[in-house]
Amino acid sequence: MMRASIYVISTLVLFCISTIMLYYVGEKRLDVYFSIYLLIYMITTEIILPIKRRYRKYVNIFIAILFVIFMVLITRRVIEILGLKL
Amino acid sequence: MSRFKLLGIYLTLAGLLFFIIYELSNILLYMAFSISCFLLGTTLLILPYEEREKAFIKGITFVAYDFYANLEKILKEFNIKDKGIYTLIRTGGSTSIRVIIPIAKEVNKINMEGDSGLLYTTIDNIFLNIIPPGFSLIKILMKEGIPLSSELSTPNLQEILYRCLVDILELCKSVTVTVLGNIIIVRLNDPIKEFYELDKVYPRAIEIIGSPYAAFIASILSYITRRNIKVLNEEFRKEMIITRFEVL
Repeated sequence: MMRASIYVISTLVLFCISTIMLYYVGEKRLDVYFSIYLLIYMITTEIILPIKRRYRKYVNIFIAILFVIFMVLITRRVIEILGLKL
Repeated sequence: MSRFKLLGIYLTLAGLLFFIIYELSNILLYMAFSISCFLLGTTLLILPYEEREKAFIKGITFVAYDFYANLEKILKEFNIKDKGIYTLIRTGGSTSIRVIIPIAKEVNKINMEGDSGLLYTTIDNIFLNIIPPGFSLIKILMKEGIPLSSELSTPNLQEILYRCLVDILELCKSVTVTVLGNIIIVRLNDPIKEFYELDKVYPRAIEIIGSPYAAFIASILSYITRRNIKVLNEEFRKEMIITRFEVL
């Protein structure tokens, strides 16, 4: 099987497993789902996705955007825990 | 469009649908599905993914261009203008294909018993002895046991050409053969377009031995009919190539 097919299938399977497990344990926070997805996405993209060096920047930009969203979510959570008001 | 781009569109649309359902139902699970679909869908859409086979074909095309560049150089060196003849020769215990190109004067028949070096000389002529692009394909035909036949029948030729050009090489989608006396017309439907520009770059080589499409067909025809074959002309159209061969 082509590596790109393996990448798509494994990422989708891991997304499904994590969604089912998080929903099963009664997780209601959306940022937790997003964080887990981002983690899975970054791991599978780094390990499996067969990408040429000249196209690397496209993925890097996309990961950077996702990471910014992740950092916003984390900051909001930290502010919430510390009880600060913006 | 590649199947990965289509999958990317599908996943992005699914993500959008899950988001709308989440907005309507407020069930968190839909939002989770929406995020995961968007992540993978967008990646597949933004990534200019190039399939390995396509990249490989590109490489092979460059090799073919180099072969024709070398041939053009040789033909110019000897100032050759007459068309080459594809002929079956005996090498050791087996058979093979060569293109014999007359240097001194044009001929319509050639009978070369065995192989020779780059130059093959007779009493009144000198020929250039070249290995055509269809040479290795003949070895596959020999392995597969395709029978030799001097009969020029349309169904027989069409079946063998379909097997070689569509099943083995995937050079085109289908093949149509018409036999008119000593002229064989082969139409390649929906061929790969990689060699369309070769005649503009190396006109002399294409005029003398034909494009890679014609070279493959001429080699096969020469092998199965055990006759000398000359490429008469080729027409490159948008969705087809029409090649005409003369059986000598």
